[in-house]
Amino acid sequence: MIMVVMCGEGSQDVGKRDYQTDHWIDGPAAALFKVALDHSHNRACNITGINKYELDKEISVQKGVLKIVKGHGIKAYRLARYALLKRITFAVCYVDCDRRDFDDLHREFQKGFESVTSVKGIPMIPKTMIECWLLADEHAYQKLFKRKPQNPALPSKPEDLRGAKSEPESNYPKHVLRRVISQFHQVPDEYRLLLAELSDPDVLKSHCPISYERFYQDILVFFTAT
Amino acid sequence: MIKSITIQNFKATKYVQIELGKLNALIGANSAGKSTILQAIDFLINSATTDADVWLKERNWKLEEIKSQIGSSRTIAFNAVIQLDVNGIEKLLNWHIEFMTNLSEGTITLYRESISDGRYYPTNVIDKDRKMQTVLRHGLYDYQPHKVAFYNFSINETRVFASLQRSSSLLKDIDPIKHKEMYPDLVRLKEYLLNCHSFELLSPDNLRHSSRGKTWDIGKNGKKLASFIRSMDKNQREKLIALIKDIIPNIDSIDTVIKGRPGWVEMVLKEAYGDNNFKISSAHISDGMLRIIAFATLAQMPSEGGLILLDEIEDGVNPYISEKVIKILYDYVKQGNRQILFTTHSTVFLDDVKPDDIRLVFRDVDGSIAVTKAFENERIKELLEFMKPGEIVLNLDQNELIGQEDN
Repeated sequence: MIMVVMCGEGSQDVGKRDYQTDHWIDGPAAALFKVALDHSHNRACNITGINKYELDKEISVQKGVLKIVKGHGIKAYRLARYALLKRITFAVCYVDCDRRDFDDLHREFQKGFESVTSVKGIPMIPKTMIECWLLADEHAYQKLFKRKPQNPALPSKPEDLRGAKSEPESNYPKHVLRRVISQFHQVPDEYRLLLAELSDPDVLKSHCPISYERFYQDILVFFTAT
Repeated sequence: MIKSITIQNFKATKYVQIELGKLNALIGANSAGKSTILQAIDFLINSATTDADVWLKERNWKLEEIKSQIGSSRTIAFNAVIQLDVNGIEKLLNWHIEFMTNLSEGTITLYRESISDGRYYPTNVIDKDRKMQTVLRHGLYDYQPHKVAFYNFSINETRVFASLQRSSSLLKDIDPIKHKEMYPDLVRLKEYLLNCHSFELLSPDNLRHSSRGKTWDIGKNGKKLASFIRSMDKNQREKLIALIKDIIPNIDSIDTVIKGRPGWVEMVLKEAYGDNNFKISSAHISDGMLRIIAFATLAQMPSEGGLILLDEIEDGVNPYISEKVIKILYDYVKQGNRQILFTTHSTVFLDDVKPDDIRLVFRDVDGSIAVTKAFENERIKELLEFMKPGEIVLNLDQNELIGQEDN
C-alpha cells in the first residue's frame, strides 16, 4: 500500500477529517487520485489528508524560502515538508485552477515540491475546478443513475466551462453539475464522491486534455520512477 | 481608546504618528525604535500623574537622553486623539502637550498644553474699550506660558488664570471627584490615563518582587504581581489558574505567602506531576513562567479601558505556546474597551497576530524613527494568501516590507 499525503482547499475536494479522530474521509479529489493510481499502476494507496489551515499551523515557512518558491508553490513546499515529517514519500496538492494560467500554476507547484528533494509531489489542478472533471464521463452517470444525462447532456469540453457564480443558469461548473444531476431528481452533494470513484481515467484524459491528462502523466512518471 | 499618537523630538523621533487599534504589535530591527515608542507613550501617560523630572529619575535617565538629537527644536511634543465616553456622550478628545527642555540647566517644563473636543466654548474677555464681551474659544483647556484657560461646565464659562511653571500636564491637578462637575472631559481623560499601564519593564526581577497592600493591578513594571494575586477574589483566582493551566497544564495553583516583613507577600507556585507536587517560591520561578503569570493576570485586572504597553512579549516564553499567549492578549482587548501595544522580535508570535494589527518601526534616512503599517503593499497582500505574518517578516527585508521595492 502506497502512503500519500494530500492537501486541498476544503472538504468539497480533498475531503475532511472525521470529527475528533485521525480518520480521513475522502472527498472527490482523493477518490480521483486513487482511481488514477489504480488505473496507471494497478496500485492502491492510503491517504493522509490535511486541510490547508492545519497545514499552515503544522509547517512554518523557513527563512529564504521565498527566494525559491512563490504563490501556490508555498503550499506545495509546506505539504512536502509535512510529508517529510510524516515520513511519507508522496504528496498530492490540490487547487482549483479557476481563471489562473494552468501552466504557471503547475510550475509554481513543481517548484514548491522540488524544494524538498526526498518527497515526490504531484500537482492536482483541475481546469477550472473539480466539477469539470466530474462532468467529463457520462458512463459514471449511467452506472449511478442507470442512464446517461440527456437534458442537459454533459459538456463536450468541460475544461472550457466558464460562467458567473452569482447566476444559477450560467455555465459556472458547479451550476452545470447541479443542473445535470437535477435531471435525476438529486442534488450534487451526495454524488460527487461516487461520480469520482466511477470515473474512467481514459475518458477523463480525452475530455479534459489539459488538466486531467497532465495530472495523469505526473502520476505515471512519479510512480513509475519508484 | 487612543486612536492615534504623534510623538515629536523624543529620543530618536522627529515626527512620528501611530494609528492604534485594539491590539497593536510593533516590529522592526534592533535599534529601530520600538522601545522608544513605548517609552514616549509612557512619558505622555505619566505626565498626567508625575512630574517629568521624577519620571526621568525613576528610570535613572538624564534629560539629554530623551531630548531628540535630530534638529534644533528644544521642545518634546505629543498629540493624542482619544475616543472616550464622557457622561454617555462619545467624544473624540485631542490632547496636545509640549515640554520645553533646557539642557544647560537640566530642566524640563510644560510649555503648551491643550485639550479639545473640537467644539467652541464661550469665554468672557475685556475688549479695548474695557467692556466685557463673550467670545467663542476653541477647546476645553489651553495652557500657555503665561496663562491657562479652562472651560468650566458648572458655570458654562471659560476661566482664564495666570499659569505657573511646572513639569507635568495640568491633568495632574485634576481630581476625579472634586472636578467631576466642572471639568467632566478632563476628569474622564484623567481616569482613562490612570487605567493605562506600562509594563515595558516587565522584568522577572520586578515580577519576583514581594509586595504589600491591596491592589487592583500588577503595579508599575509588574512589581505588585504578588499583592494583586493576593487581592484577587475566589472567582478571579480560579480564572487565573484555568488560564495558566491551559498554557502550562502541570501548574496546579498559585498562592501567596507572607514572608519577611509583616504584610509583605510573595508568590508560591505549585506544580503537579502525577502524585508528585512541587512548591516553588517566587525566587525560583523561571523568568518565562513569571511572564506567563503576568500576562494571565492582566486579564483579571478589573479596570475598564486603558492602554497596556508590553516590551518584547516573547522574552523567556517558549514559542510553542505563542498562540495561546497571543490569544490571551486578544481576549484581554476584547473586554472593557482595552488596548495593548507590544513589541516583539519573534516571528513565531507574530504568526498569530492579525496583519492589520502589525506596525513596522524603522529608521528613516536621517535616522529618525518612522512607523508604517507592515502589510500594506500589494506584494505582501498577495503573500498573505499563502503565508502567515511572521513567515513573511522572516522572508522579506525591511525595504520589501515597507514597499519601497515597488517604487
